[in-house]
Amino acid sequence: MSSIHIAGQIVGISFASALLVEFISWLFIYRRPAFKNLSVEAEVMSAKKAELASSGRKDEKARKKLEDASLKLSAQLFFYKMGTMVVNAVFLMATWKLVSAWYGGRPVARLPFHPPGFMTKASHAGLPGDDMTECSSNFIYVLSQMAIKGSVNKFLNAGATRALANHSQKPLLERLKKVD
Amino acid sequence: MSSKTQSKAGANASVISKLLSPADATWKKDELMNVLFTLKIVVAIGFGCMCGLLPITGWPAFVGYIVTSMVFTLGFYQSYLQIDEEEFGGHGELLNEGQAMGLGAFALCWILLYTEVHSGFELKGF
Repeated sequence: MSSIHIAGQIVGISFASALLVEFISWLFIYRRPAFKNLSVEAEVMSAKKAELASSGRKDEKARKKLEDASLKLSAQLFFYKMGTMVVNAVFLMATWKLVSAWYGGRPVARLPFHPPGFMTKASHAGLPGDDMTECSSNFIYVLSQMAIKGSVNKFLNAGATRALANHSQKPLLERLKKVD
Repeated sequence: MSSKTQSKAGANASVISKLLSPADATWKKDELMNVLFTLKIVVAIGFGCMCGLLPITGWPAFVGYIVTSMVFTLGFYQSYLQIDEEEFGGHGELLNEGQAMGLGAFALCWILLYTEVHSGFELKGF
């Protein structure tokens, strides 16, 4: 068995995990009519914001109205965004543990560079010895997640649109802090 | 074929026809970002395979990847598509689209090909 085989298995686990996360998110969140309506609202709001920004005119009334509508949308989206975050976190932890259990404690590749200190915590995780160019399975898993998760999300296009992803929860959290 | 599959197929055909005739095309932001994202992933896999096979080792490979990725992306949307970047969020947003995913794909291809072809690494315990 070669490194490519082991890495291929880890990439496969990562891919399956990403697909499962998308499926569960679609099953419980994305396909709900309420979420779809909010998604459309976020798209419309994003277009209005872009139009207001590019027009150059300082229309305070329109900007305030848009901000209030954006805050209301953030409050409605909050639980759906939390839901997708929880699903992501659960599967990330589960597959991390699986990869560690099946492939941990043994190097699976050699790095073509000397990793800096902060990177060795991931790249040399659980490996014996001082050869920092030895690469652990966890690092291959991290790289797979970086490469695959976003790609699966984008190409499946199950429901997490760009407008939704860009719709910030920050104004809502700041307003809640002021209330406290 | 369901209506959703048909509309997706239609949208893909529309993007391909826009890529083949860029002078006549008007782009939606989502379409353009998806195209740039795909370009970044392709460049990342190609550059990672090249670095792994040659081999190129050390930090110059990372720097080379970032520069190559940015030059390809900039050249693609400025020279080939000839779009006005201000309409789509500026250079920052266009160049950053898919950067993290591209970096992951580049590193993965580079590390695995280097390990397989040049490093003399032997798996133990599997």
